[in-house]
Amino acid sequence: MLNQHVLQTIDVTKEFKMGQVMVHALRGVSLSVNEGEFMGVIGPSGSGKSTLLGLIGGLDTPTSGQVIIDGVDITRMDEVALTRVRNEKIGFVFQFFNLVPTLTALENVELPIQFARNRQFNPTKRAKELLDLFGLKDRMRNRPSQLSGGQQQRVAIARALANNPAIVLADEPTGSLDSESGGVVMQTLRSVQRELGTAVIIVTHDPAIAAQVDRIVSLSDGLVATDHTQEQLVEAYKKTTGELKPVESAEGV
Amino acid sequence: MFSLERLRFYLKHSINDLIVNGRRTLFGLFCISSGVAAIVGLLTLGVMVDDSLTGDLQESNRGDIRITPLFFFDEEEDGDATPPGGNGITPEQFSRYEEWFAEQEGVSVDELCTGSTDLCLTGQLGLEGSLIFYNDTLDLVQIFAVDSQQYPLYGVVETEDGVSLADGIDVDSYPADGPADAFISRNLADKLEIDVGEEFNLLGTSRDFVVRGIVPTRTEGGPENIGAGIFGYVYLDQTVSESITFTDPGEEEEDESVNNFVRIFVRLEDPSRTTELADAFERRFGRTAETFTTEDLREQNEDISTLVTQFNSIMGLLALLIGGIGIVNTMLVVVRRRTNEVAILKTIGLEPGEVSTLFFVESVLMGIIGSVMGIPFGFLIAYVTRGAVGAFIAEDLAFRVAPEPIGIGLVVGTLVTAVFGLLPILSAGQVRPATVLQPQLTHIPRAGIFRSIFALAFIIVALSVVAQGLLNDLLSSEELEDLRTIAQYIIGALGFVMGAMIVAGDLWYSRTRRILPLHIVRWGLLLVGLSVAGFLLGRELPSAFPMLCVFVIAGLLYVLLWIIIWLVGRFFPSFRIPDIKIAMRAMLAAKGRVASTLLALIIGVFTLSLVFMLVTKISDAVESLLEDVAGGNIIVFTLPEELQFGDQDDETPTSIDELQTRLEAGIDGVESYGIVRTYEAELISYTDVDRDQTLNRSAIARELRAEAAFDQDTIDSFLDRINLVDARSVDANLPDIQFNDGRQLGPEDEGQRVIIVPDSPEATELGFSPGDELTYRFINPDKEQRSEELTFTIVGVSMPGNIEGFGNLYYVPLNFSPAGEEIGVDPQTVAAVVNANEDDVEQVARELRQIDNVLVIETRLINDIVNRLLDTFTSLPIVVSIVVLVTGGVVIANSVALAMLERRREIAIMKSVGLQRRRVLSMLLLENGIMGLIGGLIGVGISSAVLLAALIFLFQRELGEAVPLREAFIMMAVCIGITLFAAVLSVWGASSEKPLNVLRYE
Ligand SMILES: Nc1ncnc2c1ncn2[C@@H]1O[C@H](COP(=O)(O)OP(=O)(O)OP(=O)(O)O)[C@@H](O)[C@H]1O
Ligand SMILES: [Mg+2]
Repeated sequence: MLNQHVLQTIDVTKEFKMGQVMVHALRGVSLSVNEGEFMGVIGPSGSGKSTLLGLIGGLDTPTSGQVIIDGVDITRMDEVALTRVRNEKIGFVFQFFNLVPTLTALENVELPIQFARNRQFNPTKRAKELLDLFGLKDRMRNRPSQLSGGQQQRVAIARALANNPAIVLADEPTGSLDSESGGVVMQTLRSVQRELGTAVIIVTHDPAIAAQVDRIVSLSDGLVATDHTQEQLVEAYKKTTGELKPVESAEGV
Repeated sequence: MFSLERLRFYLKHSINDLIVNGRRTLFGLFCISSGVAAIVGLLTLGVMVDDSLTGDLQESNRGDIRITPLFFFDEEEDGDATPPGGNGITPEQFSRYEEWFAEQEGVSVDELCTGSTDLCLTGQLGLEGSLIFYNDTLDLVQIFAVDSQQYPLYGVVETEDGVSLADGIDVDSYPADGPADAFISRNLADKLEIDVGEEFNLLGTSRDFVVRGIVPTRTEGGPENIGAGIFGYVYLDQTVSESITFTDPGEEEEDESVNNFVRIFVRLEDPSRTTELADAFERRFGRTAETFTTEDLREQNEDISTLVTQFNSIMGLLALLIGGIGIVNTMLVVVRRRTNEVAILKTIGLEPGEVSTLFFVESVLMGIIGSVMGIPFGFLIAYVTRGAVGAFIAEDLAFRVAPEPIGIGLVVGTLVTAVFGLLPILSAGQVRPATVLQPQLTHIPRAGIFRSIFALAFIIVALSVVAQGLLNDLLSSEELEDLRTIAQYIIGALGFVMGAMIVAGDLWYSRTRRILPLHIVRWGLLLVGLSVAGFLLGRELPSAFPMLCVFVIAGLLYVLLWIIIWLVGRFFPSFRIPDIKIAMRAMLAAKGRVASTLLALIIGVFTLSLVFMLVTKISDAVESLLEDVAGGNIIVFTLPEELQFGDQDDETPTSIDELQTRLEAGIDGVESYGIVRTYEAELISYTDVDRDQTLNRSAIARELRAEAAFDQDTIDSFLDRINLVDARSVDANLPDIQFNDGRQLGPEDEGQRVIIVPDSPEATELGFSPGDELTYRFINPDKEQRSEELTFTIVGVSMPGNIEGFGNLYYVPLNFSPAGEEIGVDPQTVAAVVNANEDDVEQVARELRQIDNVLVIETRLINDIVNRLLDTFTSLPIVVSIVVLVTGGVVIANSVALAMLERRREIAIMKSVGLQRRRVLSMLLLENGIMGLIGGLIGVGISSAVLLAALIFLFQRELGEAVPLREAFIMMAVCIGITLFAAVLSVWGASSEKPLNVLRYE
């Protein structure tokens, strides 16, 4: 049972100390994500979305509760072991692309493979394949500053996939892009999920994005408020209005 | 390969980063460069000093062996003490020396100094100090009477036109009737305004000499012959002693001693036997003469060059440490601006160690590039300052690019950069990867307390190693046993601290991990191993103690500065001027960097201002001492009648009469004058009024001897010193000195038998105090035909200076006899002390020189010479400390540039809300001006305090106990100037940036 979930969180909490005040960013989140799932996380600003993503990705450790990735509990891991998990099991995509500015697109994608403890791929070959796959064949030698936002984000996705991770985590991946480039990025993520079977978790504010995922988890004040598949949402919406407007329904949660 | 690929990544990434952030990189590199330039430059100067000192030893020594007579014993007189000055080595002794040397080297005496043999002895006659008479003026001069055909045995004495002594002086001119040939020195020619072809006379001869050539002053001179450098000199041929009659002052008969030699120079056939022969010579003739060999000279010079090299190394190291502060600042900014990037690298799989390695590679790269850049600047420093430094050893320094400074500069520069970058590098490894999730927040990476302490301990150990390497000569002698022991404990403790911090880090950061026995073994090994290793290593690192002190002092200063900046930032009134307010806020926001930058500035300012103020203090003291002790700025001596030049008959007034008449008639510019008569007097007895006892001469000696501190020599010299008493006019020109007890003479003392005595250990021991009485026997110069016993009451005990100037410090009123009473002794010499208006001194002196047979000496000229001498000795420390301060300036420029980078956004926003560029600029200047002011106040303040302490404890208040205010203000101004200059330099570009550019890029 555990094994069919690529990710599981059990009653995860996270507290931050801001001077004298304790901020309860997460108050007990339990979630399970299956292999190859295409999931969205929504919620108002400050509800704990990014914090949850950070805990899932091993960027931070929870105050209490457990995070289990691919059947391995990462909660008690030290920094070195966590680094390895991030390197092999997780791919990150951020709102501000976060490419290493001094390296070219190709070098950025090669990097996670070069630093992998047990290497599955030839760095250059794999990087070229991925960039090729995302239509960046002729921009490989360019630095991030010479690429458009959409291109940068696709390089970032390629980098996230370099070591063929089980999960790709994306925090507002389209937040800094116009709708057209955002659309391309979403298509790319979708194809990653479909063709490589990678689970994708997208944190977003954008209703249009939320409408494209298969499952939506909404957070509110550090707790899971709702957890629905797209079909359930559509059903629920139909019952109240009789019209098919999943976009607004997503926002209404 | 795997690791090679990593390295390539680290390198590529670092290089890219350095290039992309060119401006920041450049300033950081400047910090390293300036430190390395300082060390390379100063070491090169050391090498050059060494070159020149160990170069032409034979030439400097004027021979392989130099023989000088021991003046106090005379072989013939069976060890009887004879007064110094007159004797020297007789011609007979000289030939005995010649024979002896010829025997040793297997040469026949006839062959000496001929072309077929290299063995040669040549002497210099004992005509050392004399008076020169030219164009109606008299002056002091030094005479070198040498064998013009032989002298010097190595090198040449050449006129400015390239004529040698042998060619320029015609020996036949000496027995002839006309003037005899001579060479004079450039400084003498300038002083007397005498030129080639003109004639002059020397005191004690009736013979004229003619100038045949002028040699550069530095031909003779240097520390061996200070008189030659000060007064100028004349070269005569030694046949002068056979053909010309010399008389000694005060003696009618011909002075035999002019035939004696004061120096003999030996050139050996086989210079490798120098030391052996010199030793043998001293065994044979050691009672009358001593030797000084090229080997002795080499040792003496090595001491000097070691001193220079060590001083330069210490200062170079200091400059490098200052530069190191700049490196820390740069690396901190590098890391801070790249926290986000570090976080990304960590999210995609770089471990903390790998991130640290990345930054380590970058800092090593910076170290190498910066050092390489610094090396040519170092040579430039050496090239530009070689004149000033050469003056220190009175030699011209030949510029040379030596390999050692390059190597040392590269290694030390890179090492120091890496070491100073350590803390920021470690903090880079600790960036939390989760920060990528909050891009809008600025994160300040921290290394954590354990790593910071570890890094600090490591830095001290590493820098001790660097310092030890640089100062090995200074810090490796056997006497440093104590220092070694202290260092053992220090390094041992540091080793323990490092181990403990690693253990603590392990425990703290991985508290969730189980503690395995393996861990405990590892920790135990770490703690014990590092402590023991440190303890063992410490023996070889005596530098650890001074280094630790430097860190403690710097650390305290840093904390102090931090607090001061906080206080200033918080409480300094802004007068509601927004500029000041923003400037204060900016300082508060970057307290750490402002404090460390100020630290760099303060160390530089401290060094320079301490040296500068001390030098000023010493020059001032010397200058005023001469004038004060003399009581005026011109001193006029009259010659005794038998030595007077020119035609005389009974009608001509004596020179003292004429002098007095002229002075009474009034000379423009003379503010006051006094007549000084010097009597030869013998201390007969001393009456202590308090103890109501009277001691006679032998009782005084006994009393002094009873106190173990006084040996016979000291007692003799004390009694000798008392032998001369000055009688001075009481209305003007009394020495301007301070009194330990009692008072200065005044007009009311006219006709009174009162006396001023200087304080001395002897006087203190005897208890000289006002009210006590001293009885002297005043002796007539014509040998005791008539003498008079007179008793004087002490009215003042003066504080003596450390230089005895003109006149005696024992003095009485000029008319010490009550009106009508006659005493039957004549003074030995009569002089006038004239105090002229500063601007008219030269004019007054010229007028006084027109009186026949007087010697006019301006204290100013002597001061000039003393100052020049002082300058030569102080040029080295001043030049060196300027180099150090410049490094401080570069660190400021760097810091300002870094602040600009960090605040580009702020500046852009200020501009976008309408602030003009000028306003932005002025605000930044204001901020840096405040910083410069704080730095100056503290730097100059500390050096003033140190100076004050030195004046009181080191110089025993002999230089006074006040800090030279003018110089202190100059240094403050320099400090603020440097900060502003550095600020303008780095701010100019930033403030002119288009706001749009900045806001878009950031
Ligand atoms: N490192 C931190 N230190 C202190 N508080 C933090 C930290 N990270 C997050 N928080 C707090 O935790 C709460 C949740 O933050 P989080 O970033 O997860 O929200 P979010 O849902 O991603 O919001 P947004 O939609 O604005 O990105 C907020 O109140 C935030 O202030
Ligand atoms: Mg967020």
